[in-house]
Amino acid sequence: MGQWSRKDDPEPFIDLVPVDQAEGLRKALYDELERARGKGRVSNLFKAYSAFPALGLANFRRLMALLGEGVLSVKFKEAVMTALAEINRCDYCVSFHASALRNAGASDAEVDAALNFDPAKIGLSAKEQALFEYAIKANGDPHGITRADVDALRVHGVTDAEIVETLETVNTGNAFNLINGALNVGPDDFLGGYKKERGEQWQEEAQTEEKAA
Amino acid sequence: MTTLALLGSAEAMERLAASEPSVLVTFTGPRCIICKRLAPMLETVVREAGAALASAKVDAEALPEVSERYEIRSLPTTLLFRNGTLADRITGFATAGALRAWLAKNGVTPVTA
Repeated sequence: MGQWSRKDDPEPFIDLVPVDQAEGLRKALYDELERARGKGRVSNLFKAYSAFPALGLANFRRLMALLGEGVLSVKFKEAVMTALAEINRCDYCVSFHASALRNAGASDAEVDAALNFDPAKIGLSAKEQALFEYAIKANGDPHGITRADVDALRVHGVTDAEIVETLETVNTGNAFNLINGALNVGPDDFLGGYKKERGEQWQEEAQTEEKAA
Repeated sequence: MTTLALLGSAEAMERLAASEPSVLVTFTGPRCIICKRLAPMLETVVREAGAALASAKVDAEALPEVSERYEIRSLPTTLLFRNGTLADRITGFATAGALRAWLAKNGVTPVTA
């Protein structure tokens, strides 16, 4: 299915090949996803990516490196990706990352704080709060980042590696949001519909704005 | 989120600025990418401010006389009016956190319904 908020065109724009029909390199990608995430948990995003299996595999390994090998908390990275999904208005991405954020220990109120770009209320360390602000600013205008912004991170002991890890969290979130948005890739069956209402709210607001214009 | 209403004339801009104790107006444009990224930040802080803050947006190209009057040199530029007078401005992108601090510095504190 497509994104919840696109009720007028509910199907993805490319074929999402089911797990039991995958062959060759596509099957290799799906197998790697299931080994990492569990049986049946091949997300629709990676079914879309599997149209170009080598890129799908490269992007999944990029995600695994980001989430598994970095030093910043998964809660922090999922909070950033939840916020990016809200900025990009990708309802599947909001639901996916908000669910992952909750699985990383966040309360419902902390998930809402991420959706409201309010790092002080997400339950992050002072360092990760500063990095969250930096991430949102870098996403908003990367060329507007100044040395003073980086100096402000250093006050919290942020390392070069942590800055790169943060920026790659932004890159990864945006890249996945773009694939899902441009291909109308919607929620996975194994996703429970957490925060599904975000897309419906955006759609209502767009209709209200259209009427007012 | 709370979508900011688009103002259609210089008169509407003047009326709004004079009508409420605190008014936020952001100057934007259809080709301004950073404006699109700023929008959810603005919408969030406007919603949080509640009745304490009125808000709107202006298409800078559509209303050049308004842009000239407020010396809009680049987009996005966000203005804050307090009691009918231009009190402060932010040029470029700002996070929701930076906007919250900016509003607080200018005496705008959220009012919950």
